[in-house]
Amino acid sequence: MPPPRQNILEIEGLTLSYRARGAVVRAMDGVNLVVGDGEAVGLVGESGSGKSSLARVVLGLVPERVSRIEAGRIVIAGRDVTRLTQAEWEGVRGNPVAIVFQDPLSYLNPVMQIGRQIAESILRHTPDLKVAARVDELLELVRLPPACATAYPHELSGGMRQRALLAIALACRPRLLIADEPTTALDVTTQAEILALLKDLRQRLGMAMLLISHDLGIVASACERIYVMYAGHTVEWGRTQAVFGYPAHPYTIGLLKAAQAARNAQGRFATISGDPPNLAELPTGCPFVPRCPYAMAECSRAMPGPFDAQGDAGHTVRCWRYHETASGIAVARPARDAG
Amino acid sequence: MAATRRFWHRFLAYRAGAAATIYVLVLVVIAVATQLLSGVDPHQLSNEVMRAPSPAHLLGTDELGRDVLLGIVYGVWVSLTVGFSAALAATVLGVVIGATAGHYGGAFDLIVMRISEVFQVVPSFILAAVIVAMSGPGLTRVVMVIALLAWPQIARLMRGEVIRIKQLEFVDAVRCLGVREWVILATEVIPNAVAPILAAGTLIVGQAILLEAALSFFGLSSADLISWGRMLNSGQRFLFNAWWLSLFPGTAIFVTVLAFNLLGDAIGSALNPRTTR
Amino acid sequence: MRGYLLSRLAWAGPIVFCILVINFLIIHVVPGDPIQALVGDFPTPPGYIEQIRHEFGLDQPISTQLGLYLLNLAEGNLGFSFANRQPVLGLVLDRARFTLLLMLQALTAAAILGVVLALAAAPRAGSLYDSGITALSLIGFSVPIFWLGQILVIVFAIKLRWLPAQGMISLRDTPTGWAAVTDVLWHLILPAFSVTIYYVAIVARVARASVLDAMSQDFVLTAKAKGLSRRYVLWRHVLPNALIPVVTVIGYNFGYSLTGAILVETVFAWPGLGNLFITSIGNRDYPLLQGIFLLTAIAVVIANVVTDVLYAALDPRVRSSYGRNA
Repeated sequence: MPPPRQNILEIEGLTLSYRARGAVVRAMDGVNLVVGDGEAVGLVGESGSGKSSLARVVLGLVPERVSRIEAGRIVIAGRDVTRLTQAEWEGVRGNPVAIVFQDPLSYLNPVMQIGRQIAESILRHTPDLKVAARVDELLELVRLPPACATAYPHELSGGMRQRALLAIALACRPRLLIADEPTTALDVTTQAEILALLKDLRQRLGMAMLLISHDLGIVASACERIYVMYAGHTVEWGRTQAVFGYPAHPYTIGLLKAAQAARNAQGRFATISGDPPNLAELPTGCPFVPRCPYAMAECSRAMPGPFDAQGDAGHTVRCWRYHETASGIAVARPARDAG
Repeated sequence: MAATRRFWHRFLAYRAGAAATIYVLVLVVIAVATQLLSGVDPHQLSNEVMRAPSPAHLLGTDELGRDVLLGIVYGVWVSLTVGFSAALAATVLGVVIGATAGHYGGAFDLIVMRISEVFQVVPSFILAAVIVAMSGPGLTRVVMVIALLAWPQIARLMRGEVIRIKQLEFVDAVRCLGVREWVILATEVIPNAVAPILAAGTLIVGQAILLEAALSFFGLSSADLISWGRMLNSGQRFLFNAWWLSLFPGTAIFVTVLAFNLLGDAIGSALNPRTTR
Repeated sequence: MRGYLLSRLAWAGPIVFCILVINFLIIHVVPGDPIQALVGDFPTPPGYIEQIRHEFGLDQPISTQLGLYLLNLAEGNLGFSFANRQPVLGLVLDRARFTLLLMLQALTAAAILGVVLALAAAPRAGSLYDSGITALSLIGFSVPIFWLGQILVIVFAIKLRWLPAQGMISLRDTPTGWAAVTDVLWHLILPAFSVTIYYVAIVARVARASVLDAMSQDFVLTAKAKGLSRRYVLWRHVLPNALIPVVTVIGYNFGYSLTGAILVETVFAWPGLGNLFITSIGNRDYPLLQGIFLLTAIAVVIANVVTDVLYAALDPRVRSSYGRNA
């Protein structure tokens, strides 16, 4: 009998705020997110939705002086890490949780050879291994030629740098790999290669993955479950087929429609009507109200849910009108649809 | 003019700059006064040799009984003359050379820039000292040597400005209207370059005063001219018994050079449209 | 790396040539007979003047003279100092050792102090510290360095009697072995401090800016995300990146500290080039003065090239940008 699946990451009602020039900005507000051991989970949202803050806060990498966790908790492999000191965080970073950032050039040390940057991870987490052999092994794993060990970051192409960054993260032998927009800085062909590599490695190494992206297609193809984030709130989550097949939150619906329109219009960039949220001046209640075609008076009073969307087990949504939206995506023409 | 008013507003907001301005103005008055007033002889010897500061001689007397305070007051003339004339000469030289180099470009530009690089690499005090030592002291020579060493700073600024303006489209338009090149230079480049050049020129005044003091300290000034550096030279000989011979003239040099450096900074930030204080 | 080195040498060549030409021009531009500039005002043995006239071809056209002058320099013939009864080259090189000792001390002190100050202050971006650095560099830029030396002598040697005022070694009882080394170091403190003050200010300012800049770089996040300790990240990731501008500012200001050392030596009777320089002024020993200028100027050019090489050694991006093209 297999043991019950544990959760590698649990985030409950997490609220994170930044202080900047006297103003307080909530980057995350009551965020819920769970990643099971070995599971691939996607996190989708526009830039500024709090995705990257989430990736960083899970590793204690948000700037200490200007940020504060106001509520909620983060549990990693059963351990509550919400109030760890910087020194204690060192025991979490890399193993069990590692991260791959976007923009691989600026995230690699320009004056250190790639092999050395990978070796640092090995020496930190598995010092008893033969380091040079293990570096070669990792380069092979991410499909980089062995000569890259002595190369400097500026000598590599964008795709190769992203692979190097991936090797650095994998060298820590993480149980959970967070990939923050890992393909955004790359061209389309390289994007596909990196994505295929990520999927392949995840299965081979049996690690969990939290894939963060604004690109619905990437997330849909790689992840078993999806979280949708808007203005610091997780507004809808569930199994990929459920969330993308029967979206219940108006924002998810908008995202999917926009993606579909973009596909049809062959490259013409389609977006949801209205301005992206300004985190410093969020309305009370649901933050999507200003752009929501379904908004009603109730929505401005309090953040709804989470509610069970009742289609698929675990499909959860934070919208008062999820009954109508969930059933009516394909047919309903909302009165205020400006698009 | 609003721009002028804005300049003064910013300039005075930079308090150190305002203080430096007042100090420099006072120095100018002193320098002129020492040249106009007769009847006081700073070379006046007396029997009161090597006296420590006292009510009779506020800053003491030197080995020949000359009053140190009087010496410092009369030394203002040399420092300011050298400072202003050297800076002026370097600025004129730099503006002309820099503008020509930037305007014509090509081999001439390359050679000029290389030469200016040489002057920036070479230890300027040593070169100045060698030239003055071999050609004999004299204020004019000192001024010429300092100007010779300082012009590249201005030339580089000027050249950069000329090249920048040359690339702008409206210059082409004006040129098509038949306006001569030098008119364009004079009317378009100079107003833009005034701010950084004025600031750099002011800093050169300070450098020149410092350089002159160092030359005089090394004995490279004529003995009949009272200068602060020369006073420090005799201070060096009596370091063990007469501290006031070193302390006061040196303070005069330090404060004066500091004032010009502050002034240069103030002018630079007051005229620069990009700085907001 | 080789291409880069060649490009730097290609930069240095014409500069050195210009320096030689300047030296040649001084002889001829200065009022009076060029022979005086070549020999100096010290009494010379009979026939020497004629020999020099011939060696430097003073009766020939100026272009030939330049050629002969350069040829003489190439043979290491910088002239003869009759005041010291020695060839100029050997004399200058001999005295340069002591000046170098003084400068290296100042350079090292400035580098260490500057970086330590920057590291200590960088995490706390305080305006008080900023003002301190600004004030220090403004003072360092404005103070006559020889006067600063005089004041230090008056306060610490004469009034407080903590440190020796003059010379490089104690004259009364000449120590040996380690005692001699500490004796020299003891004598070094005041002159080195005078040379250092401006240096510390510029190094501290640059180091602070570059440490702050390096700490805010993205790769620091990657390093932290590996689980590396804060100290390790600071030393192995932040510092190597932050040191690059620091090394260049130290190297490019070599000329400043050289001039500073020469000015300060007189005050402390330090037996280096500065002292040789000022006695040569008194002796009207022109070949020696020119020799000092020539060699110090070339030393500064060499320091610039060495700095460029160090820069490339620290930053692989510089190396490869030349490796392919040049």
